[in-house]
Amino acid sequence: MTFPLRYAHGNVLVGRGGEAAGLYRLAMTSYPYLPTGEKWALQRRLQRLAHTIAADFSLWRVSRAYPADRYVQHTAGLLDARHQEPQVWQTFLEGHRDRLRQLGSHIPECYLAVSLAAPGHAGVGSGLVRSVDRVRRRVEELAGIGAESPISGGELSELLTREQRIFERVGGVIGARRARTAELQWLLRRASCRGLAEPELDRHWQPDALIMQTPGGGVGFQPLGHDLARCANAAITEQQHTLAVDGEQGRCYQAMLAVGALADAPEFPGSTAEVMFAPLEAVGFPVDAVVHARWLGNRQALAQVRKRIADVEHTFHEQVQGAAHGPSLLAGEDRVLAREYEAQLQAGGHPPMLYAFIGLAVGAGTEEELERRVAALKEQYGDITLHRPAGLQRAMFFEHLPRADGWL
Amino acid sequence: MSDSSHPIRSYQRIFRPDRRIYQIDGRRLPVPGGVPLEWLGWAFGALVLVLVLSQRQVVFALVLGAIGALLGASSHGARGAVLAGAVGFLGALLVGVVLGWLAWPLRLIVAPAMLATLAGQASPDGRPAHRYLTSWVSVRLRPACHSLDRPIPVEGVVHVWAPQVWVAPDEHSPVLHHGRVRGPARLVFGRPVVVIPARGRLIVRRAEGHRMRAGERRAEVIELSEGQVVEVRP
Repeated sequence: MTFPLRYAHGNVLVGRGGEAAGLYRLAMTSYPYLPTGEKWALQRRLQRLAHTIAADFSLWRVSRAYPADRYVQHTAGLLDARHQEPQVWQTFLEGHRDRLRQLGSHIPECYLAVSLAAPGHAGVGSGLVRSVDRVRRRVEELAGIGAESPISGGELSELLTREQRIFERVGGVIGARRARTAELQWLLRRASCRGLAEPELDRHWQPDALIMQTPGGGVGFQPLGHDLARCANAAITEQQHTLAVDGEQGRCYQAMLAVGALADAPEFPGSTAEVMFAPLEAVGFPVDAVVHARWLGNRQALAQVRKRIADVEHTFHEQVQGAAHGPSLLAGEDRVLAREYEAQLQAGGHPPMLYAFIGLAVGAGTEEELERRVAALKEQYGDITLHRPAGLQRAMFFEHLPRADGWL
Repeated sequence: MSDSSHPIRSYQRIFRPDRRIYQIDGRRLPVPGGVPLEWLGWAFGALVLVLVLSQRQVVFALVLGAIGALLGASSHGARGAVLAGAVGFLGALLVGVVLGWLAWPLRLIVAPAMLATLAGQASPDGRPAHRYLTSWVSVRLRPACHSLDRPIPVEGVVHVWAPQVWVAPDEHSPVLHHGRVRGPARLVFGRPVVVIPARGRLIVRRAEGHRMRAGERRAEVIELSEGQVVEVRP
């Protein structure tokens, strides 16, 4: 449960275990005003994105407070001075500004981090290799021998080449641009004042690294990880289901929630299918959401599904032969479902499969307000259960920070 | 492209198979819905635990105590280690005694079956019972307050870093302090003192209020030869 980032070079994030990811800011769409056909088109585009990037990814949906103080400045120029009174216009806009302040308006933003792991890393047994690697790192950390080697110049330029490729792929499907350093700082700093205030940013902040001469004669970078860590080093007091975070803006209370099983056949467009949009827009306060998705290529996905087919068939036959009331309806449905999924994976597009975790983070200035917000959010999610795991709150807090290994 | 609402099929259900045993060697089990494999796992684990605990072995209690002490030490230092170690050790022995009072069907059949049923049915926070228990214990054992991965004191709790501090006067002190100096040395006092010869050494006292006797002298600087000793007694 350590701070996940070691270095950031532009929009390339480097994790503590050497994992790397490119961070992008996605262009937003006024989704509620789209006709149904357009909503389907957008849904297919996002589906294609998951297909095209062919890598593990994380998606953060965060809320930025609307800069109400700049509202008057932004809109004052819209006046036609030939027919209108500037003073009246100014007063009118100031009324808007005050109302916007009262409302605590916020604007959603989406950031996407795509793994820059070499293509070979996604092969058969990669999960086992990654798990063993994680255990080894943990043991090294506990023993105090986990030295972090410098990142060589060659390694960094290879990462940048891969990032360029990923950027082109992402940009080919949806509107996106590379995340800026200021945005990375904002993503890190806002975690400690979530639901309370906007973080204060340092305009000159830049994660730094020592440039070293490597034994081979090349250039190496020894990241100064504290540059990143100090953006998120607020004191966190862990209670059973709540975190009390003491940041620079004061104390805020946060609750981390995990989205439970999704509906079996949710209607799209509709709130049960739009889990990252509809319930979050329906509540009047900002809620952060994160998706960490592990990408499985079509061949691996098929292998997984065929194992499941064997499982459901076995269960069905066991029930036919052994259960007192014969096979259950669900066992029969599962057989159809598994075959249907196999057929989908074998279809022309050869789609991948994603293992995903969806987490939500709610913040407030007081514990009472936090509980009210969590209750309102649970109500919006309806049949989809939101779990608030005791003892995992701090670990889940780190899931909402930009990271290069969220899918591990 | 569709202009109407359609369901999107979710296939996650097939990845959570409910594995049950309905028959053994062609003989149906007398449980209508079958016996979940998870239940069997819990029952077996509980049975092993009951058997081990009811032996009341000091070695096992010591192992539990040591695990508790390690966990306690990692979160609450030496005090936590002692407390958690004692709870682990005594708890294991106490549970063993209680289990010993139970009749064998209760101990070996009913207790594991009840534990397995409870653990299999309960899924607090959407997690299996053992994971929930692990988190519940760990959140109580680890330090409550962190800055990233570094434990820090909770607000309102005062941590004394150095409860015993030795303070020694130096030459800048405005008052005369006790001291003993062995020559060779040159002692310079801030104000005149009385030097009183004693057995094998010189005694230095404050000059203010002292009635001079024979052999005593006032001085501000004392030169000590090799091995000569001065004791300052203010």
